[in-house]
Amino acid sequence: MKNIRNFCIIAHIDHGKSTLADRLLEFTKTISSRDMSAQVLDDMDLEKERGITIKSHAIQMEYLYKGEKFILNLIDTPGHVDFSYEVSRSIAACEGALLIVDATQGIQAQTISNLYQALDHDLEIIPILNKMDLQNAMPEEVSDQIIELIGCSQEDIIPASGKTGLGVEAILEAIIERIEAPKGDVNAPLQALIFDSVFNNFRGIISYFRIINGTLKKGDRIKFVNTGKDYNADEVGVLKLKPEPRPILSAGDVGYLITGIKTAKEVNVGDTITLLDNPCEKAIAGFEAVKPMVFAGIYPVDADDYEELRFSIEKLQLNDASLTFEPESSLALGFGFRCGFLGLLHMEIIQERLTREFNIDVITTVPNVNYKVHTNKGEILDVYNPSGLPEPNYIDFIEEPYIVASIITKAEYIGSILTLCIEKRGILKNQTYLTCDRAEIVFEMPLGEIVFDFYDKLKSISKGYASFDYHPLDFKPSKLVRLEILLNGDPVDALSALTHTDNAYPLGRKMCEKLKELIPRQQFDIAIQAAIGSKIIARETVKAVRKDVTAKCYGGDISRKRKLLEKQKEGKKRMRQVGNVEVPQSAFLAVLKLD
Amino acid sequence: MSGLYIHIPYCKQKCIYCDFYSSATRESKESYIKALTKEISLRKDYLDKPLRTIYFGGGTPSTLSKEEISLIFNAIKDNFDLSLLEETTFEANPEHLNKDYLDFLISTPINRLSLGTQSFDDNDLKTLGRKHSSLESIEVIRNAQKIGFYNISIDLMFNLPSMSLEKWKANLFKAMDLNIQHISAYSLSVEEGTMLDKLISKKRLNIPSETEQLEQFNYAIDFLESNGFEHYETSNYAAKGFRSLHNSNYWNNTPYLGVGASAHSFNGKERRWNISSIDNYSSILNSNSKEDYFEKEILSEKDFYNEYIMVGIRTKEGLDKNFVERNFSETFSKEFNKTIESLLNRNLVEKSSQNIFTLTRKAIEISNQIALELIA
Ligand SMILES: Nc1nc2c(ncn2[C@@H]2O[C@H](COP(=O)(O)OP(=O)(O)OP(=O)(O)O)[C@@H](O)[C@H]2O)c(=O)[nH]1
Ligand SMILES: C[S@@+](CC[C@H](N)C(=O)[O-])C[C@H]1O[C@@H](n2cnc3c(N)ncnc32)[C@H](O)[C@@H]1O
Ligand code: SF4
Ligand SMILES: [Mg+2]
Repeated sequence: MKNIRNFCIIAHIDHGKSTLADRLLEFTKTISSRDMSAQVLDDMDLEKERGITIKSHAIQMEYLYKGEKFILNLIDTPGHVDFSYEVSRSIAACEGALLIVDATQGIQAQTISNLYQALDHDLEIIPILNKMDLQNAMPEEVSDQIIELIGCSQEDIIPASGKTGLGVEAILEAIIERIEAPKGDVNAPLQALIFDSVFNNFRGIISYFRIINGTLKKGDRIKFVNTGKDYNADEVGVLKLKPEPRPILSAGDVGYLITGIKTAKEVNVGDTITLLDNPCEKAIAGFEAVKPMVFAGIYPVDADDYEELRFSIEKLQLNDASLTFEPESSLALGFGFRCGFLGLLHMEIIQERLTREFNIDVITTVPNVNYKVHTNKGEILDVYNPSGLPEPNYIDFIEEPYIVASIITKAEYIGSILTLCIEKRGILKNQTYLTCDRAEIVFEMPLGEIVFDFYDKLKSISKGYASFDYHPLDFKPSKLVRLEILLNGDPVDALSALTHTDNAYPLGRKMCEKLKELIPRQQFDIAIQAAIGSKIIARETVKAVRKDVTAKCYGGDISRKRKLLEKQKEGKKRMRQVGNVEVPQSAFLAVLKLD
Repeated sequence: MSGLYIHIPYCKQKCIYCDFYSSATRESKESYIKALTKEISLRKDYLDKPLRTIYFGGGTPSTLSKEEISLIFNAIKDNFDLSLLEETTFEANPEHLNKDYLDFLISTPINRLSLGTQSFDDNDLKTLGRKHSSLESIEVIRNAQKIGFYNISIDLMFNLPSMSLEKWKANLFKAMDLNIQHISAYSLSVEEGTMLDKLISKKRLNIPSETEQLEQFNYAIDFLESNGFEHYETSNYAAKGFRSLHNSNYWNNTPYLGVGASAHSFNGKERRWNISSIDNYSSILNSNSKEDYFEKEILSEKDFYNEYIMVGIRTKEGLDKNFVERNFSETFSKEFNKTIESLLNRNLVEKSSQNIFTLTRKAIEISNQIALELIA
């Protein structure tokens, strides 16, 4: 055990965690040059395409240091704020963390929030100044920021580059010298923390665990403490680039377990594994359940795919415990699910994974946050869907969730960022200068205002020089109304949204304009209306197609015309019939595309 | 029966609305004719049924010299059995048809002329970049009739810039004076990248509103029908017995061979189209190169079905429920029956006879939408 080190890599988004992990894997010959690719641990297509890490990835390295062999278990984590729960779980499996800071960017919002999470778990922090190969690196300035933030000394900071490999050896040395070996009692009853799980089509659910005490052998009868269910440990092993079976793992080890479990619900990340006939006394403190922040309906484009959709969402949930769902139905869209997400990026990714990995076309409805509705009778209802709002005369008042947002930016952008936050009903709580031209601004804001376009707006007004992090705060009463959208007079529940009274008129008008752009002309006029209660506040019309005939000679070129028509037909098939109106998928997310 | 199409991608000028591929320089013409006659002999076995129709289309076939036309006919005669030939159409621009040329044409197997008259209003002709006057068109028709062409078709366009319904009516009246047998009446379509497109976006030209466009279309249908012309396809009207046999090939699955750059062929199973570049086409054929000068596509059941719908819906023959049931699998015929039912309910199709469905008048104007509902 004294030769094991468990650590994770944490940082603000894009500061180079996965790239530096590549260099460590390369240097320790964990991955041969043949298997190497950029950000090799980002193995999902979506991660590769978007160049971001979505899931934590664990991998074991071996390293010979001063004649001794060390086992180094590395966990690469995502940087995007939507996925911060992944970081918190990885942290629970480690004794140390590499805190990476991009030398051209300095400390950013998630640098701070991830650091605090690691400190909460008493992890040893190894600060790394990354991207030192870049011309515009500012080593002195950023080092000062790091020293100020974590109170280390200049010598503790390792200059590195994921591009050139600078610093890799020093990092490995620091991991061994500074991070302590796992403690734990090999002879005590088995106690292992499940920190992640993935679903594999052939093997069922694979749980990733960290053994705190005891040993786990292939073939052991095991029990999950929280669910109380027992299983056979069909296979245990360590995580190399591919899983490698081992006969036995013991305290301090990070590994995987296969039991043949096929249903997602049986494996709770955060549960404790122990032995059936020699159980540990108590469960390890698990994780706080991740709470979804944003909710939206997901419906199959083709109603026949409902069961298929349920199956697919369940599968996704295996890899992604932060995704919640429950069945709901919509007058406009039929049967589907109300899903909870950590943020809009998370929502977008789930939608894309359903299409790619499960081949189901889905419609995602207008996202919203959850509300607490206080009724006249004194009840408090949790409402996750605007259409679930009781009739106005039953409502006493509504509360909406607030967050504390922290924004780090350059001095020159502070003015416009303040304006943006105030526009979004933010209340300025604090403003501190980190250095003479960098400030941290703290706001309290309704979550509902930031889930939509806040992040994009922030990025554009700060030319990218603002980073943003947030935490839930509490619920506060708000003047909210339900904005209803009607197509040809019929309200379309999937398009309704809850909004602050002051925003209702402009939002209604913009929604109608956007929908007019997105809904194609059909054989009749389509009236698009926005309403609050029975009051129509905006209206647009999509004019009927009156003339759509090819009345030009096209001779023998029938193929081309056919293909044109077939392409149109494909588009039509992906639309959803609402009443007699065909509505394209994109229209249901129109609210996200307003400017 | 089968058809032969011969493509002549040359024009003396480029009309402002036209995006058909054609060349105004004629240097390459000699080698093109050589390649064309070569393709005729190479592909004589493409069709296994005797020729019933031949069609010279363009571009502008009347840019061919008499000698060139003879070369092409010789190649055809050498390679095809013409004993069952019924219709040979020659597309021509009026300015090319002097008496001498007409005398020559009547001496060949050509027995049908398709004249690009476009409009009988000289202002329109000028705007469009045409090189003939209205009077020339009329004289050419008279002369052709005088020497024995009794099957003449003219092309007319409506929805021309600044065209009023009155002006369109005048064009149709004029056509009726000429004792012609066939009219192709096209709605001007503004193709991307054409001069017309530019002039319209610069507001130098104005096309009629959607309402006016529909009025002109509907007027043409009513007027021509009342004058004994059958509206047998979206844009085509024929006196009794004078439908274009060749174009009907395209609409009823008759095999046809198309020779020349960008020409399309269909042999009952596959569609082929030649490359559109004149130079590449000629150089491949003339050099005995092994390189393909065409692309092709084998049609699946779905392709056949979609083509049947797309083409059939535009014709007076309409869509035949029995044909669909006989020729396509149940998934297709089920969907067909279901959609037809819904179209009937919405008065978009009508039963023109037992099991035959054709578009109602209001549906003709949106026939692409109807096709879209029906195709698989
Ligand atoms: N020049 C230079 N570029 C680097 C270095 N490290 C990473 N990059 C680039 O920075 C970008 C982000 O790198 P990643 O390794 O994906 O960053 P990450 O921190 O894993 O990002 P997330 O997982 O999405 O939070 C990529 O384009 C890398 O090529 C470095 O040391 N030098
Ligand atoms: C393939 S063109 C060749 C005919 C010949 N070159 C001529 O101009 O008379 C056949 C007919 O298509 C029609 N046409 C061409 N371009 C058109 C357009 N953009 N819109 C509508 N009809 C068009 C014209 O009426 C033309 O006569
Ligand atoms: S309309 Fe006829 S003459 Fe004019 S450019 Fe087109 S093909 Fe040539
Ligand atoms: Mg990464």
